Amino acid sequence: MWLVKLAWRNLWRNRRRTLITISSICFGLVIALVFIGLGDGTYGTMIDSAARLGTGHVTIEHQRYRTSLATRYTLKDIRPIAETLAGIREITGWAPRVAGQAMISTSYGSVGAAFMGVDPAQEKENTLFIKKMVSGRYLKNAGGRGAVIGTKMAEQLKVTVGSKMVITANNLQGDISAELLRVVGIFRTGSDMIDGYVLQIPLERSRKLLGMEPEEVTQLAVYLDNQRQTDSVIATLKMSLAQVKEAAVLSWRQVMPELAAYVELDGGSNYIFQVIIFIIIGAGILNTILMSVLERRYEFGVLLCLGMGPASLLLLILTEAVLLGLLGVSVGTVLGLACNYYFTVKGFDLTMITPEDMDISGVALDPVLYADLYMDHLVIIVSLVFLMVVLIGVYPAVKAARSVPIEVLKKGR
Amino acid sequence: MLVYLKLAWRNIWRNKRRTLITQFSMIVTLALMIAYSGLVWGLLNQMERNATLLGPGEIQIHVPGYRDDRSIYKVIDRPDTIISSIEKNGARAASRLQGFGLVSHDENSSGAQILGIDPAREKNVTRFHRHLFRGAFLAGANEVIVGSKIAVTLDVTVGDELVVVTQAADGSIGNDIYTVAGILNRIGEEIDRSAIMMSLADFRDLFSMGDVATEIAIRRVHDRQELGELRDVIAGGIPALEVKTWKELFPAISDMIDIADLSIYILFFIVYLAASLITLNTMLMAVYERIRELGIMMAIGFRPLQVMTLIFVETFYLTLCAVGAGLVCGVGLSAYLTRYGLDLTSFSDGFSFAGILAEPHWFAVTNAQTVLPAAVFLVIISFAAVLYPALKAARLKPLEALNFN
Amino acid sequence: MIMKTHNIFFVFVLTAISFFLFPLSAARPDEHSARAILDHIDRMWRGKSSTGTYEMTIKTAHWQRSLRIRSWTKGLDYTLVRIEYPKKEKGVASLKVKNNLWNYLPKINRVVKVPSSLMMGSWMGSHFTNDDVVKESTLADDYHHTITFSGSRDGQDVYEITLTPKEEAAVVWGKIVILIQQKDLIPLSEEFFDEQEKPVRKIVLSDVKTIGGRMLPTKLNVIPYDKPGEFTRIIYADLTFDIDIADSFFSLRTLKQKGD
Repeated sequence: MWLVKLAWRNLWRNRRRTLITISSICFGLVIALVFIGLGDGTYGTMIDSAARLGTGHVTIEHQRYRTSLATRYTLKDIRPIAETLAGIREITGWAPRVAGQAMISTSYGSVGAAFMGVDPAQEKENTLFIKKMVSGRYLKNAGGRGAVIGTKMAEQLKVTVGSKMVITANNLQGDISAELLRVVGIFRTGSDMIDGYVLQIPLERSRKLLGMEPEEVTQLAVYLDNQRQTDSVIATLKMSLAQVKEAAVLSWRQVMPELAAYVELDGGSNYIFQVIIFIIIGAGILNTILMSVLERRYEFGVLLCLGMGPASLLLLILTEAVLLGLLGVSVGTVLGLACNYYFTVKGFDLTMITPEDMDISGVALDPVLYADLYMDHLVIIVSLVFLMVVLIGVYPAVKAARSVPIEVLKKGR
Repeated sequence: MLVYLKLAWRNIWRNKRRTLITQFSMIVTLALMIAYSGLVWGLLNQMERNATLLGPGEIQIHVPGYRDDRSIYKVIDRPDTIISSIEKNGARAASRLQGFGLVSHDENSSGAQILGIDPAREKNVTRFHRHLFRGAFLAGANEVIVGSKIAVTLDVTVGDELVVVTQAADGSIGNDIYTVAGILNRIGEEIDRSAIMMSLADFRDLFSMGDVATEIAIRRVHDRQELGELRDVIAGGIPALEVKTWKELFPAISDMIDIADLSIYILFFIVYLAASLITLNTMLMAVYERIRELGIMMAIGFRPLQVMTLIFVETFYLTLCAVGAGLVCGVGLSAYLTRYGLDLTSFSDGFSFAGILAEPHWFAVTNAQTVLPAAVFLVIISFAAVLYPALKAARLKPLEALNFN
Repeated sequence: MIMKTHNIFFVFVLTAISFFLFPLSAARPDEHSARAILDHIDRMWRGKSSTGTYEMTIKTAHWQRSLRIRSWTKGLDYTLVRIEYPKKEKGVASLKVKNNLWNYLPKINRVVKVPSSLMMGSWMGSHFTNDDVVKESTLADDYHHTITFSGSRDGQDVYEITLTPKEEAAVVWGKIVILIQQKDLIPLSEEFFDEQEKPVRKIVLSDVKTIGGRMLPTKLNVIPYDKPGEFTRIIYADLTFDIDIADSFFSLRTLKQKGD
């Protein structure tokens, strides 16, 4: 106990140096926490966006569908699957989807498009399209004839809300089939691809178009409370759905590999950046502690002569390092969390400097970055920084403990 | 003056340990900053290269109004004459033709952008030929290169037959069979989903067109050449046509790269901040430790100004050595990264960011731009850091200095 | 642009022809309600077949060309079309069987199946749209029809029938207005409007002659309003009705023959 008291007093005897060291630790920790927080938040948001605009965090479909994207690979009856989904806690919702390629025509021309037949009731909580409407409204009726299209498609076909369109596709039997649709809403996601090529129509209408059975779908989009639970939910689902023939359970990483690649790569580069900062700061801290030990050699010499064992001396210096670490880490954590909180609520606004429509492989990017620091990341970073400080203290501590008292006393200061 | 130099030098090395420790963090900082700059510039360069060399080229020539509707009737006459004059100006150019068609293989079909290219010249202007996933670039007649996603849609592989049907320029039905010679890697959404490339000759046959081009793509020979200048030189020779740099043609991509630029500067700023803090800290301590010693000097007759000068000269030496060593380490590390790069492929595959391919293997660049600013910055910070304590020391009365701390 | 909509043209022609297939000495004009006229035509038309040759001239902003085309039809399910002239495209043919479409390209000796999602543009660059063909629905099925005018216009006694799409009909037009000569019940023109009642294109029928044993307009002119100066014109050379033709004639094998 007296060791701690002594260490504490030692630190504050040279206030300037101690404060400088603590502020270095603080700085490094705050940077790390803010960057990781923004990163976690941004990736999380992107993944959630992509999931909601696409096929969910988890997608259930026919096992051959992904490789060929042919409309004929369907899930014939979703009822047994729906029951299983209801029993899993992490799933906040799911939506049936029918997907295919078609031609959309109006009096003024035609465009090729990819359509998604959706059930508005089950989409309401989950899909982002609702939030991206710029005119009109989202779909209401699963049996109706409404369609929501993107701004680019509306331009090309020269339509507005209320206009009619004819959708023509090859149905499951291979024959050409057509249905009448009316534009009820126009959306803008910011991604050229989605705005010009994708439309959503009512589920039953799409089934009629393709000649499907009443409970048949192309895919089930499953939404999770927290995208980090994706892998565990998939494992559970794979077991429960083993007896459903030909059904495959995929994660968003498999359905959107480019997004996954971006997240990994950006994460990787973030990591490298952190390492660089840590090294720079670590060097500085080493500098400080070493200096402080060196300039007190005379004092340590005296202590050793007075009978303090080298082991105690080592412990003393280590304790100083530990205390420095604790102080620096505490202040740094508080500041870091405060910054993160600010960014969680207000976000890091880049709208000034970002161009209008940015996307990563078709997923639109939000120009405001929100932080969302995961608990386990927080713990890891704080522990690492603390550990680094203590480890840095080891060399100087050992050095001091090894110094031979007479030599030191002879040399003086 | 000589006295100062000698004294300063000796002072430094008298306390070897302190000097070395002080320098240690400065060296580490400088080396890392150089390496990091190198990586970051390298990345930006890569993005710019991919934006241009895997698509439009650096400069393009079109008939005015072509870009509004990409009509096959807005063509450049006798493109070869234009190309030879461009080549005389010391750049590389290639003609292109673009049209729309229906392509099919067995029971699968898809709409596609048919691109006619000059296989030999195109290699000088873009890098498509280096991004083949399977097969080889165009070699013989009636061959096509297919985008990665449209290859899946059509379910084709190298050697398969592809039927292409189009509306030719004279209104008739253009149709022919081609062999898939190669499939491209993932490059960007548009190309992946809809590009079918064939030779100019084959395109002209298919579309019943003559010696014309819808576009001429140009690339500099030397990257140092100012793009805007080259554009002006070329434009001067062909006043009726529109000549633009890729930044003017694709401002969104250019903006995006600028954003990446900006975020990198922010990161730089943070790294420099960290470096400053450390250096400041270091130099501060270096002086404060010695105030007692300086007090003694003043007690024996050194005037304040002389003391300050001494400190500055010492700082000069210190920094000189540190920067020297830092440069050696930094440039060494950067050179290694320039050669071998930082391989992040184990982290992820490539992806496309706003249409530009981002590869997971990063190469640094090592040049004055990455090295000098860091070194200069370090020197400035060092001196700035010493200023305050040096002043303070000089102002102290000797007795105070002796009892300092 | 792409050759997919040969059928468009065909169903159109069939539908157009369907108007003039009824006995000349039919009931008196004022007994003809719109429905009656169209019904009569539909009834007369169903199950019949035809074969004929016509010349199609297309003029666009960039080119003009003429094709001579031979056609065979049976009911509304089967159609075979073959180009006989110019030489460059001789043998290019299209087959429609129910809702499926195939093209044959003699130069490369390949049959290409045309998927619905790509039926953009027109057949052979003509001004016939996709809507004309993919749905083999007749005008009577998908539209409400009323006689909106009966009287004299430009020195002729005409009926004007206005068709408005039924609730759930998968058609792109907002309104179609057909003008028919009261005397012979021969159609004079067909005008297509978008939902805002803006005219998009017009088809003018003229040159009434005796052909295949009937009095029919032998010239059809399609005029798009948004592309001034452009048109597609069809002139019938010969036409024979009620020929004996088997369903099996409409096959991929026949598609591939280079023609007589």
